[in-house]
Amino acid sequence: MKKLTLLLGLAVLVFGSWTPAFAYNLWGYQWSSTSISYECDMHGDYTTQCENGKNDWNRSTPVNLTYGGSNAGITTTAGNFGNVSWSGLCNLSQVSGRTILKADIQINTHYTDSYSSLQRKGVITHELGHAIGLAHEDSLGRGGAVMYSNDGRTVYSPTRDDIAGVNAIY
Amino acid sequence: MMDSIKGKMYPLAVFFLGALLIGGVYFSFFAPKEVDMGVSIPHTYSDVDELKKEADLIIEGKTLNKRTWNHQGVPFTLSRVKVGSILAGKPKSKVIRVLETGGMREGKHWTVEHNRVMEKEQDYVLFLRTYEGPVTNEESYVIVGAYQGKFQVEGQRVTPPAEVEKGLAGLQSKNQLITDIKK
Repeated sequence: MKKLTLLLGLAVLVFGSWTPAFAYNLWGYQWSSTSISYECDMHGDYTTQCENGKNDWNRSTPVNLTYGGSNAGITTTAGNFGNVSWSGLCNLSQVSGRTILKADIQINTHYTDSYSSLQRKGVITHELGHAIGLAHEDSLGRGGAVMYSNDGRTVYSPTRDDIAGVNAIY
Repeated sequence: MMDSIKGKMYPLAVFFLGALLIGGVYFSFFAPKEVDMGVSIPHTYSDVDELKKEADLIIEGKTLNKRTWNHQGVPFTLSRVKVGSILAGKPKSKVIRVLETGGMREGKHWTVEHNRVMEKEQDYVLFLRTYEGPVTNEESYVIVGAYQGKFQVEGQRVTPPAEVEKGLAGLQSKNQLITDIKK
């Protein structure tokens, strides 16, 4: 009986105090509220994937991206910038201290026109992650986080690590 | 004796604290701030060999001047670079144009993965591709991997870009870099 109690006690100590090791990195900027307006100012499949990405963040995190039209806090557009070696870019165009007031996302169709819908979604969801306040996370590999820095990522929705990152911010 | 030392220490201490205060005020309020742009890149290069395969031209050169403007809300900088030595490929002229994302706008350094655009009068080893796109009509090149193929040169030492793979981040000798390029 003593042995069993000791074993149970140890198990409680080991597993009770266990917390998953997360690797997310924060960008150092955040919105003043979890309710953030957005607009997907795009066309065709780009709009679909932008909406899918937005829904993913809304479903899995405390962030609530709501449609805000042309004055939205986060605006996502698609255009051809040529072979500049980025497929997506998030520019915090207005900040006050560490508070984000406006974030502009550009998707570079020079690359993404030849991507699958899922890869496009990955790029847009990644950029939305930046706009919310996440930085790159490469230590978990291609499948560890949607915030993996290059388009070789094999996940296209926020993972547990990405979600933990957003939870740490808001 | 002690009074004499105290007398000398006092102005030194005031000078030191004053310099610290001025430096602090400058860096807090007046020095250009860095704003990093979050990108998703098509490819991460793991070593010189990979950069080499992707490059149309590899040179060592000096930045002469540069201009920055916004294209569809994104800052871009076009630098004129005087070609010093050609390490691979054939440049279109002795002075080439290199287009980079980022630059100095509205008193801020806009960076990609914390990499600033090239500085004026600075030497670099550059892995370049011919630019194809609408951001500029001028015949120009872009750096392979946005920032990954840009090494700042100081004498015989090179500084690799920030946020690159181990195979590039460890390069510090210009001779080693050139040997790897010519391999």
